[in-house]
Amino acid sequence: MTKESINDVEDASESSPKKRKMYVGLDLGTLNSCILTKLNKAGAEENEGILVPTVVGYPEEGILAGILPGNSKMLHGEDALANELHLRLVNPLNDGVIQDVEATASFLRYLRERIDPERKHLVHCVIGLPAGADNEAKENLQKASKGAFEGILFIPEPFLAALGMRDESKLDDPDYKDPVSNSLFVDIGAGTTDFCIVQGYFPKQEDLLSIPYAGNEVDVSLDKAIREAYPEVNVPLSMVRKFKESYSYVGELESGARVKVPVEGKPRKIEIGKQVGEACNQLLEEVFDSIKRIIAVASPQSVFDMLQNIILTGGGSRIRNFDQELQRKLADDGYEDPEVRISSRESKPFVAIGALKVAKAAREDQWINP
Amino acid sequence: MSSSSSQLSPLEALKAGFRRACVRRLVGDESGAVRVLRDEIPALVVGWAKVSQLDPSEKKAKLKELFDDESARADELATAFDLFAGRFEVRMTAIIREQLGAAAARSAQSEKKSSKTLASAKRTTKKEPADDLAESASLAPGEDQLPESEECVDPPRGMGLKFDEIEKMIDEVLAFDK
Repeated sequence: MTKESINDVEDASESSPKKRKMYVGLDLGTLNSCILTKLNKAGAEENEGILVPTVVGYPEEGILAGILPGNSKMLHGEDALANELHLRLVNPLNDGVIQDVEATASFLRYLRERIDPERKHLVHCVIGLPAGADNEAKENLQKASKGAFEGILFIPEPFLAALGMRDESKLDDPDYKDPVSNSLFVDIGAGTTDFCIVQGYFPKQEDLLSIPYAGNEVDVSLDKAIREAYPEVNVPLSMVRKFKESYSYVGELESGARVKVPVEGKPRKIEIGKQVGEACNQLLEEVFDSIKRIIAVASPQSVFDMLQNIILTGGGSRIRNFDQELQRKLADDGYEDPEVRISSRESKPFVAIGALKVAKAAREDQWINP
Repeated sequence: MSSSSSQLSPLEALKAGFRRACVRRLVGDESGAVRVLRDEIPALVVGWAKVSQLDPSEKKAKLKELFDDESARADELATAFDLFAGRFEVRMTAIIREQLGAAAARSAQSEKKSSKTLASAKRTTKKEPADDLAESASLAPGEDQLPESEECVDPPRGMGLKFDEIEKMIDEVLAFDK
């Protein structure tokens, strides 16, 4: 929950010589965001950053005093979701770019409060942007960052994902396969799926592709399919998303996903295995079609090696069998020995890690004052 | 119905029957699951209902609870199996990779040895002109000069900055934005 006023925000832009710099990496996602302040040292405990649902809640008109914690005028992240009954929820981003500047600004100030509640530091933040973000998207993000951070830099997310995945401490190890040497990264997020050819060098614009089809579209398809199969069932999209997160898979349709839903207040179990499979298979088809487009522009002599290094990242990569099914489809389509793997079985904030690496490497004169 | 189920109490037999259907469905044997549900479960339900002292409404609730419990247990089993399969896959992949690597190294070594032996044998044996022709015909142009590992790869793509040149990359991104 945020307690800051407009005055606090203005004060934050003051630069005091006594304040120390704090570098942070931010993956500002459509559904969830991750902010990271420390990189893992070898042997240190895993630091996965702070994961926050990217949502802002405004109280409904006429709400009684005392209902919301601290009588807040605005709630963010988990606090907003926990009180959604009394709030109008706003998603600051859509398809990876800002759709509501005011809500984004408030959300970024909330993140700042989470990492530096007493504003003792000058926070310099690198923020990941979708591969296809235009100038308007960057300008909006810059406006929204005012009052939240003292220095900002926007870097394409695929660069950051690749940087984040690379383990520099192992580069001298002959057995370590550098993920950036010749790979195709596929980052399946909530708003967009980004594709990026990485061949040892930071990629050019033509090596990047972003499509507005990702986890959110799966939620919408699944919601529609459930309503068609069970017209009496009326559940919110957030519940549908949880069903997807529990049962998602691709490939041959399966049954066995029985979920409890309220029907006129009474609990009822419905079978949604087929619907989940169909919705996830649609995403698989979209990713498959786009991957063919990006493979077509890869350099002819390195494309065969690249096909053996297709790396899936992002929340969508955790859909069961996604890697195997994508690999099978590519092989069936005539590609030679494709190999698709998931960057990590666990959810790792590669974009935020990459962003923090960039923040630590940036020169003083490269930071933008929002 | 299996012979073991006849030795169980009617309730236990019913549970075991339904569990069997769930397991069949989990392993992908949908028709087997349907067969158990169609051919075995009704008789087991009737058998249990006859001996149960519960009211009809309580019987119905008990049956629902039993089916829900067994379905949930089967789902948990599936999750545990997925987790185990993931760990098994990782472990087996590592072992197989190691063994394949060792086998490949042995094979490369023996190939190298046999090539050397063949070459020295050729040097000591007077060649017939026809042999020369056959040998050169079997080689693709340039194959004898260029080992596979030194095959040319076209220049890397991208903006020409390596991944450890982060500062320069930021300059490029900022210049592109301007």
